[in-house]
Amino acid sequence: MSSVNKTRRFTQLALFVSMAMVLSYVERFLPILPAFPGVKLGLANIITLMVLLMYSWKEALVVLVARVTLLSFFAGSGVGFLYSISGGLLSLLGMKFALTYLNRTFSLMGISVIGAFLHNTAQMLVLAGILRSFTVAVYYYPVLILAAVATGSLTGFIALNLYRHLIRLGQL
Amino acid sequence: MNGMKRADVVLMIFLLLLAGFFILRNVQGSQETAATIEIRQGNEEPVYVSLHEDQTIDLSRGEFVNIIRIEKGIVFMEEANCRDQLCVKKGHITHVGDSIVCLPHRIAVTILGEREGEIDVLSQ
Repeated sequence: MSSVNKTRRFTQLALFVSMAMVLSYVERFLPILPAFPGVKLGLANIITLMVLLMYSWKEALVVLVARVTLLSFFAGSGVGFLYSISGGLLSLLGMKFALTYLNRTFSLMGISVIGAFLHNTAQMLVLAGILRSFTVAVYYYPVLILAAVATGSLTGFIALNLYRHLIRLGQL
Repeated sequence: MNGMKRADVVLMIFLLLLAGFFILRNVQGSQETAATIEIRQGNEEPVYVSLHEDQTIDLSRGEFVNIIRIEKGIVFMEEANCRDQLCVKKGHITHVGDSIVCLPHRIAVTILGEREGEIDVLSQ
């Protein structure tokens, strides 16, 4: 990779980190279901998907870890970090797998729903771990699954259109 | 990579059914008669308390204040000094399976049905 390309990649990834941070920060003020704490839009997933598509899982992992870690420094709690990182990692793993092996089967929307579902499943498991009880966590699980279908579709829809747009603009 | 595909829809329907399964499980559980509450706190052993006796339980540990109140089969977090106050805002719970969670203080109060209650009495 030439040094120009290296710089370009570095700059782009830094931009992605900052965009992802802003998106996950802003959505804290948009509780979509106030009765169910923890249910978020997951807009930063759009960024994770774009980095996965434009680069590889390695870059996506770097952006994800940087986003979650930096945000927890600025405006987070220990528990929040645990939730975000476990959800983010499991979701990235699943989306990477789906993009590699099920790319023809699913559109970006399906892949994003898989990611959201895995993200929320990880959250359920972390909740069970913190409370040392599966009962409460599993009781909460259906809400998390339904939320994953809704938010995963939304972020997938946005990512899909963004992706097409970037291709049309010759950026990909 | 075009628009939505059939597999996307199949996946979503599958997840909706999965959620439905868990909801059904919750609903079935909630039809049992509420009898006891299980209090889990940090790494401590869970504590079981009868729902039939009105009382105030102080779960405070060090600087963490949490006070729950049982009144006529209704449970609520009377006071807490956690940041998010989600446990206090949760309000009253009455059905089996319902719970009040105070995540910052690692407390979960869950209503259990008669069956678990009996086991608890035996084990005591």
